[in-house]
Amino acid sequence: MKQQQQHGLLPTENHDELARENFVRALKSHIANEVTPGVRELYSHRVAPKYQREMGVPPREREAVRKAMEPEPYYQLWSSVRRASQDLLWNVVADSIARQLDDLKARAQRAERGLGSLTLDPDFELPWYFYGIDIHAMPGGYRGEYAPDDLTAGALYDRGVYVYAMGQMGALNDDYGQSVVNNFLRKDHPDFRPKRILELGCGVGNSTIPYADAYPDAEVYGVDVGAALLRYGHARAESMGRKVHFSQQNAESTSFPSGHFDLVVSHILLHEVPPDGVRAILRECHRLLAPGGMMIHADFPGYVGLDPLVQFLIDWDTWNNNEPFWGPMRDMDLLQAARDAGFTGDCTELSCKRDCVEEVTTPTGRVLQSGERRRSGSLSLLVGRR
Amino acid sequence: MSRVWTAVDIEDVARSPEPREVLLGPGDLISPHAEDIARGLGIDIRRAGQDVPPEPARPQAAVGSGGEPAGCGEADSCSCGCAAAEEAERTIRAIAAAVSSAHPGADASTVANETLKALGAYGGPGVGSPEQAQPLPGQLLPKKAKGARPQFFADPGMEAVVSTLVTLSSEVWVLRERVMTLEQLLADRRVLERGAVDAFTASGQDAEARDEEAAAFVARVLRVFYEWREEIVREETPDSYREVIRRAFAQVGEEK
Repeated sequence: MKQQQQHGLLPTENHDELARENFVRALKSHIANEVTPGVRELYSHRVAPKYQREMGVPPREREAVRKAMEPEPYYQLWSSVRRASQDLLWNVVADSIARQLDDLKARAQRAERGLGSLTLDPDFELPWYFYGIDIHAMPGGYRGEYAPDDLTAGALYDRGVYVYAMGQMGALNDDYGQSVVNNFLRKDHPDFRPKRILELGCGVGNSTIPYADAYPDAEVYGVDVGAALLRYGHARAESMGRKVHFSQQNAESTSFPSGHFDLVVSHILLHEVPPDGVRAILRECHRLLAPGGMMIHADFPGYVGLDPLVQFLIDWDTWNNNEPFWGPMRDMDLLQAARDAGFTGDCTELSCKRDCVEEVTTPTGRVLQSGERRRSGSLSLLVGRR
Repeated sequence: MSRVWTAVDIEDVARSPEPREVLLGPGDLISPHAEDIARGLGIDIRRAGQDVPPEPARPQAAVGSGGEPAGCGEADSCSCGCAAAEEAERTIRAIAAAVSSAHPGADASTVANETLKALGAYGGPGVGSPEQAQPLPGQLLPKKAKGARPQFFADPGMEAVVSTLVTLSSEVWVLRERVMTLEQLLADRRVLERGAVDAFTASGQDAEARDEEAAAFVARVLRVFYEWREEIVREETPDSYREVIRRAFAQVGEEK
């Protein structure tokens, strides 16, 4: 695994902690490249022919595939090892962070330069959909706090996601932000000069900072639900000399005035909230944008058009990896949801003056295209113009 | 933060060594089923500042008899508990909205029923309590995310075996990597210094070699997947294995 780029807050690993992370990476890579292909073989050699014999037709939707696959020992063992690798990942990183919590806090204090700001809300109401399930099985979730002025969730996310993505999100985990900036905004909208930018669900600000770099004259804001994430994100940005204003807010309903922003973005946020949350977020984007402003949500493409086996394989996370909204988001008609939120109009050119919305597929950035696995990925963008 | 008490919570109280009573916060709700269970288990239910048991939860709990919101209005310091009650109502509305969208075209009573179910009012699963995951006593951080861990095997013990085996593999790898480091240091310096292992950083080339070693290691430990894949691809079944045995016995002349 390539080294994650150091900044003032990134936790460090001792010899054995790094070895454990190396193991998790090797395990995840092995499952993806050597074990998961067996699930497809299982389906084509055993499960699909049996289904065809018994039902007279091939499985036509992913639920039928799921029911047929779940009794199969190969599927069971594959699933169990996959989930165990996810549980191990977070525990390995959390153990390393627990060792250096005091040090992280001291580093956060040293990082403060007064460039940006941090506004926490002690009365923040957690949305009901984060009550009972910690997203992607990260213990404590985005909202857990385990010490005064805790930074754990932020450190766990920053390092955990890097190990989870096997370094493919870039040395600063910033590939999604870089992809939208470099492969969409600069390419398709080179003259777009937003004055105020907001990232919804900004987490530790890993996708926020590319916007501060691309538009140095703009004011950049980020909101998220987790105080520990935001404390870490603020200190991280300060340590990197970047000016971002972080605040603890629900993306469905923020305290910013209407028409306050020229650009509202999110990165892999929509699949972490239920459909009604997505709809509320889209309405909030419409409210927040000034005339001519743009919203961009970068997330994974929908299920439409995918064969039942592929849908079933992707939907594994919905049921087994604490990603309850992963599948529902992919089943949504996001274009219609955006129109219902106010992004109406039938123009085909996003430069037109009327509200409109479109889906754009854009290559992921430098890392996913030219990183260690040299495999190109793509991002699905939901783009709306006010 | 208000909370919804379900039958499961009451049973937890019954199991704990704490006093057998539940003190409801001002905005807390308790399901009728949970109240019944509590009565059966001899657990007292009291609301903060009240001596008598509260009425069962109703979504319109925050609305006064005149149909006007019963509360402190915009007053900053609210002592009547209505802020918590309003928060509880917002939670219920949020869940009811989710229920409505999940059951398009459902009538009002179905939506109300499903909402109560989601809240755990009938002893069902609910959507979980708002409290964060807490670490066990003596631990700094929780080891498990909130949300029931999925079970893939019919026998739940298998999940534990797999999880333990995966972790054990990780620890074996840690040992291997430590040995590699020691060997490398010994070769490089011909002397072992205190703290040398912990201070060690692999060079780019060494890290690449380790990636390859780790890949080979994982492939060895998880050999069973290759075995199963080969069996699947060859479409081998126990029937044909038994058939070979049957024929062999038949050749002895004692077919059975």
